[in-house]
Amino acid sequence: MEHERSRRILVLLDTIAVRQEVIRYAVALARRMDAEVTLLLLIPLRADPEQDEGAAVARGRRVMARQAEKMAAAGVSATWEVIEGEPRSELLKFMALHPSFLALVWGGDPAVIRPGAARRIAHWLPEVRGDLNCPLVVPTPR
Amino acid sequence: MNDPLRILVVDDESIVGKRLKPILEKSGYQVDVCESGTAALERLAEKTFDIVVTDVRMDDVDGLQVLARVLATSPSTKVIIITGYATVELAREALTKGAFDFIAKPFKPDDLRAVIRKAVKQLEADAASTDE
Repeated sequence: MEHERSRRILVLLDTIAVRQEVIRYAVALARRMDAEVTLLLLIPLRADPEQDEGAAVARGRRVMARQAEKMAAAGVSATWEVIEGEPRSELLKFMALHPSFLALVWGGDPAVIRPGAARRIAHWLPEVRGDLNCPLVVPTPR
Repeated sequence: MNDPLRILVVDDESIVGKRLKPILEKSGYQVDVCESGTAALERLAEKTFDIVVTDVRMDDVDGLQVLARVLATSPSTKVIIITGYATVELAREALTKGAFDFIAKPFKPDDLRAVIRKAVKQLEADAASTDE
C-alpha cells in the first residue's frame, strides 16, 4: 500500500550523547532535499519503573529541544519526540502513525548496525531495515 | 478496581502462554491462556476480559480477528497485539483497527508489563470518566 510521503527526514537516536556529525549530516541532507527534520529519541524501559520515574525522559526532552534549536539556527526546521518503551516496537508504531519519511538517519553508534556486527552489540535496526519504506542512512565520523 | 484484572493471553506457541501466565499472575492479574484463535473466541463468548494480549499469526483465527471480536463485544477491553512478524504495515493496521498497543517479539516480560500498566491506567481513566 502506498502512503503519503512527508517532506521530513527522521533522525533516530538511542542515546542523549548525540554525535554532532549526525546533526550536521541531517542538516545538510534536509537542506539538499528541502525537508524538515524529526528527531526521535527512543529510551528503553527502566528495569524498575518506580525508580527515577520520568527523569530519563525529561533529560531526553531537554537534549532533543537543544538539538532542534541548533538545527533551527542552521536554517532547518526540526521537531522532536522522546518515547520510552521497547525500541523496535516504538519505532514501528511511530512510523505507522506518521506519513513515510524521505530518509531515516541512524544517529546511534554506526558499529552496532554494520553487517557482521558482533552478536553482543548487534542492533535490531537492520532487522526492520527492509520495512521502513525509506532509505536508512548512517553518517560515519570523518 | 478491587477485583484482579482479567487478562486473556492468546498465542498458538504454547511456550508464550506458559511463560507469561506466571509472570502476569505474580503482578496480581487473573490470567487465562488460549492456544488458538478459535479457543479465544469461545472463551470471549463466555467471559469478559479487561485486557487481551494476542499473537497475530495463528492458523485458524488470526489476532486481528480476535481484536475485531473483542472490540465488537467489549469495546472497553484493551487489546495488545504481539507478533514475531512486526512490520510498519501491520502496526498501522492493528492500531487503526483499534488495538491499544503493539509489541514486536521477542520482547522482555518488563516490556509487556509496562504496556499492561499503561492499559490499566487507561482502563482506570475510562472508568473515572464513566462515573462522572
